[in-house]
Amino acid sequence: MSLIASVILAPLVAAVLILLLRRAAVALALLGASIALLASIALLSDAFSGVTGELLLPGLPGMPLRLIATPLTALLSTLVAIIAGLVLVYAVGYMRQDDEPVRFFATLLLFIAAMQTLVLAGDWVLLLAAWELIGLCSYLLIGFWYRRSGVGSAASRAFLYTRSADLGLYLAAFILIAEAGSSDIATTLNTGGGAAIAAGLLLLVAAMGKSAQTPLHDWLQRAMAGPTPVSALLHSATLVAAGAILLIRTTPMLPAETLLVVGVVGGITTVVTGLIALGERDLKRLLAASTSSQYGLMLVAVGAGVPLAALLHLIAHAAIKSSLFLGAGVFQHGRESTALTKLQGAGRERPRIFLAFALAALALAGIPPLSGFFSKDAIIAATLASPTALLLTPFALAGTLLTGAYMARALRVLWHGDRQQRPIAGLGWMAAGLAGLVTLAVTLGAAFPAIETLLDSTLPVSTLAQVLGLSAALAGLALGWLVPAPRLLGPLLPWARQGFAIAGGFDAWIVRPAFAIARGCERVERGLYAAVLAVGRLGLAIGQAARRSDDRGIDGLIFALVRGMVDLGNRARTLQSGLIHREMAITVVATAVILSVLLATSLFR
Amino acid sequence: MSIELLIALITGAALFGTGIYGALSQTNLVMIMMGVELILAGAMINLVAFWRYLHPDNPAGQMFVLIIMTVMAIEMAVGFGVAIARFRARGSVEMEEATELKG
Amino acid sequence: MAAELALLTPEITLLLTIVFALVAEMLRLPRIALGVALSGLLLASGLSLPLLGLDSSVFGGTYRIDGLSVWAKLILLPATALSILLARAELGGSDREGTVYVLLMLVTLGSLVLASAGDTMLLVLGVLLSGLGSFALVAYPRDDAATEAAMKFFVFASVTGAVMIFGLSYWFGGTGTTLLSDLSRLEDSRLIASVGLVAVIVGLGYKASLVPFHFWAPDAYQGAPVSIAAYMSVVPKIGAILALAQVVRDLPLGSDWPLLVAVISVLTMTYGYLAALVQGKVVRLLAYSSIAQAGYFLLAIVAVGTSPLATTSLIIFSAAYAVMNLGAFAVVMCIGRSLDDFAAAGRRNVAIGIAMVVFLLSLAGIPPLAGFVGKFLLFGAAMDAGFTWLAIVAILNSVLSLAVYLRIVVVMYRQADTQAAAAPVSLPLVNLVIVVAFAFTLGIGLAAQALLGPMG
Repeated sequence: MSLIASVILAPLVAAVLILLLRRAAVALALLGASIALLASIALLSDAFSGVTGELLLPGLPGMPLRLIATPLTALLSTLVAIIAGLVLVYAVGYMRQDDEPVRFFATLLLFIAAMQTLVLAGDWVLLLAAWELIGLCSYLLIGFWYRRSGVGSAASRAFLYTRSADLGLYLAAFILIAEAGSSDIATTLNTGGGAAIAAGLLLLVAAMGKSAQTPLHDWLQRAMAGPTPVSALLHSATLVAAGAILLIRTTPMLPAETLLVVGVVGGITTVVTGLIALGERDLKRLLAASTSSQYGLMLVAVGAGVPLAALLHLIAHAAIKSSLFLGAGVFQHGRESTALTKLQGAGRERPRIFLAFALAALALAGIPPLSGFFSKDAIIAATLASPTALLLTPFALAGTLLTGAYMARALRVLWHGDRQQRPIAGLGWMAAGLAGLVTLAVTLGAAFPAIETLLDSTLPVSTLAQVLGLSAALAGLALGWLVPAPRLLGPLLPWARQGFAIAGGFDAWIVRPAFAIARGCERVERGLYAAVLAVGRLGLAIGQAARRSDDRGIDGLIFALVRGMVDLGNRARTLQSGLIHREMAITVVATAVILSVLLATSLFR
Repeated sequence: MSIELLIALITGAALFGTGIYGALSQTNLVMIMMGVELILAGAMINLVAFWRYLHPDNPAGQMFVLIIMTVMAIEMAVGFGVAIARFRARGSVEMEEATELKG
Repeated sequence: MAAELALLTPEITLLLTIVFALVAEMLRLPRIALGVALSGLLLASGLSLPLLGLDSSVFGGTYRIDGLSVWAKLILLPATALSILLARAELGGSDREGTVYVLLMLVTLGSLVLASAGDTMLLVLGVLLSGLGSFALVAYPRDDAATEAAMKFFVFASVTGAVMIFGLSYWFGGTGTTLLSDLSRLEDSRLIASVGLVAVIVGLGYKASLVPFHFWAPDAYQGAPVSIAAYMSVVPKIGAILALAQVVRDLPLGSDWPLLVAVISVLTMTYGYLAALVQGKVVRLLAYSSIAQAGYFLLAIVAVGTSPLATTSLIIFSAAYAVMNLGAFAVVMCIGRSLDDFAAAGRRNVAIGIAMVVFLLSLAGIPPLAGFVGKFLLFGAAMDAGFTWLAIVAILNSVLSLAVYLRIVVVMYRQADTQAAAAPVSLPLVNLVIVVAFAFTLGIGLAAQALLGPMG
């Protein structure tokens, strides 16, 4: 199957060529992306005619690396290729002023290749490789403008967050491979019992990191420090989607208990990050929070046991959210800022861009006949039909309401205000990319029945869901347009502004108890010996580091962990005193300890 | 276990202890090497005693002793080579003065 | 006898090469010594190929010709050839350059003896042979740092070596022979088994730089020439680890040795990466990283005797470790020893930058590079042997390791270009080594199946 290979190889080769030739970056990038797009469309049409493509490569002993094009993976691959192609077109205009197009386009293409590998991977090892690679690429892309202040730390933060969650994927893959004796994903999906529960929860952790679910949602908003096409591609349609895709692909394996946890995590995320979006003062960060919120909705659908609804929303959301980001990027170029106060009235300057942005916003809110309506309707119907309807449906409706509210708020800000016309370089390319994406966002709904037949499964249908969803969306839109956000959020506002990161909450839950423990330890320490002292100090250090770091909670904890590690490293380093005597004495004492422990165990048995 | 073997083993262990103490407490490279010699001497006494009292039919014990003697000789030679190189570079073979590399 | 000698052709070839190279050096013909050394090493590796698949021994069971020992030749001999190329680039033209090649090959011979040891006396000889050459190599520049490093190295080596010999004397008392294959006689005398085992771990652990026997390693690597440090972090270390595998293979399981090795493994990886996290010199950082990697090797040692994966994973990880570590040190030769020298180096020389990123990611165990395949099999072996907790600790340490290695990557790409002067040196021989190491780092993952084929 050379088709599968060319989907991945075309962008990869283009990236390498760009790096080597160091010129004609734009042409090579577009060429690579279009070849990949053609190949993935061919894959999809094969899938429609019932052909499953498969490519085996030599890998670990007894576990070949495997690329497969099932209907699901071919569909996702086409989605990635289309969005990537359009974003690339847009990026040609957006990056016109930048002086390092080679690095930008090469990394972006490398990312596309990695994402295609992730989507098409048929075994866990390849999936892990792609997962790592997209993490690395996103680190490089968020930090693309590394000379600007704050960008480096945003990139590192994104990396740390997702990296710590990636542990979940590694452990889950090990469990599944050990259980099934094969690294083939399809085979491991037959796992059941305790292993399935454990692996499912671990996969959820990994997905929470990549898809920015509460409480690991903070990195996504900070990731907006990168160039706008990066935000549009990575942080709405692809990288973030990896988490949801992982769960959609493994749903058949997940037992009911795990599904419930998935649904609840998604539900909490959709509400929490929806509120954050409502309180946000920066357009790109608002869109980022909304991304988390929409992925929360997808997790709700997975939790309701209808991965198809999640998939449809993923597809619709990919087109919609990238259009929103691209529109935001045009406004950003016009006003040199993404702060909402600076963007007031930016929409009036460019009515056509605003129209596109508004269409996408309405689609996201779920207004018929735009694509978002169908997918959101499917999610609500899915929750209504699931055994845990009482728990999940309110989450889904609240998410829909909030979506309407924050999108209406963004539209209002963009429309009301003064006009100040300024020329933008490369507007033609940007508009072309945007137009393509908005067309998709508007019309994709018509393709959903075809997808249903392709994947050979049906969605639950319910008039009640349509009524509820539509009224929630309209109510949200009306609220967001008419009532200013501060009043809407009321006492929640300061919390939401700090990203729920969760100043008061985490302070009360983690930091203060840590202090209390530390104080207690200090009291005990006077009587007891040094081991307790160390624990106390560690607790104190974590507490203080968490308090000192500018925003708190998990974030502070992760950084405190890093700092604690460096601290430990420094301590380890002092052992290496350079005085060979002291070092050798340590060796001898350690040997004596080892020997006596061994002797003790062999004597007392 | 015969009493002779026990005495020999205790002597070997004592030599080992003295040697370790010497190697750890002395700061001069040459003195440390003396400590190492004592440890090896302890090992040789052990081997000879084991051979003589437990396994007189297997010559491996004697061979091992010969090998240890070779080890001692070669190690001494190389040790003095290192000591001379150090003395030429620094004018001293004190370990306490060799603390530039650390951390 | 003749049949036995036929099994030893690689070692004999190496020995003859050493003699010829020494003669060339005595005639002051360093170029000829280099040529003789390289061709001899390649010939010896070629001669090891027909031995694949054998499982026998020579000289009455004292010298083993089995999977471990033959693969040790196939990995260590080419690795020595690469190190000789590095040494030529760094020390070429210096006084008595040919002795470096001779000493390198002598240390390799010692490491091969270690990896094939079937007898305690050969363990002693192997440690001695691979140790003596190393002191001289470290001291080669004869300056302050080098002699200090050599002195510390020597003191540490002689004390640990003596302790090992002393402990081994009890094994002779317990079994009546010096053969490793007779260690099973110690089934009923746990005391003697434990004393001897701890002694062996001291002696081989120093060579493999396991915690707490590692103290010499960072100092010696820093004081020595970079090419010598690269060599020492690979060849003698792998030799010692394989020797440990040969010893524990025959040790009765009752004496709890797997648990002991597992604990040392945890100590070694954690300590190594923690200390590496705060180093400011790349050579020292890589020294601590190689200490930590030694801890990963122990995952397979734990499983020796219980899991068939143990041997496989040891061999694959040895090969992967050899190429990626040599590659990383070769890049250090091009760029510089200090972390500051790496500032923006990746942007100044794209090819070397990419190579270094690949080596470091492979060391961290990112799929699909060689390091991942090796570590994956190591984890599998440990879990197979019932040490799931150890595998989990190792995975956690891998996360820490990524922080360690990314420190270099970040400096290479993120930091502003402060010093315009220090452009990476481009040395043809070093570049050759980097290319070879790069190809294998990428290829071992895919070649794992082919590599495992002949072993069955």
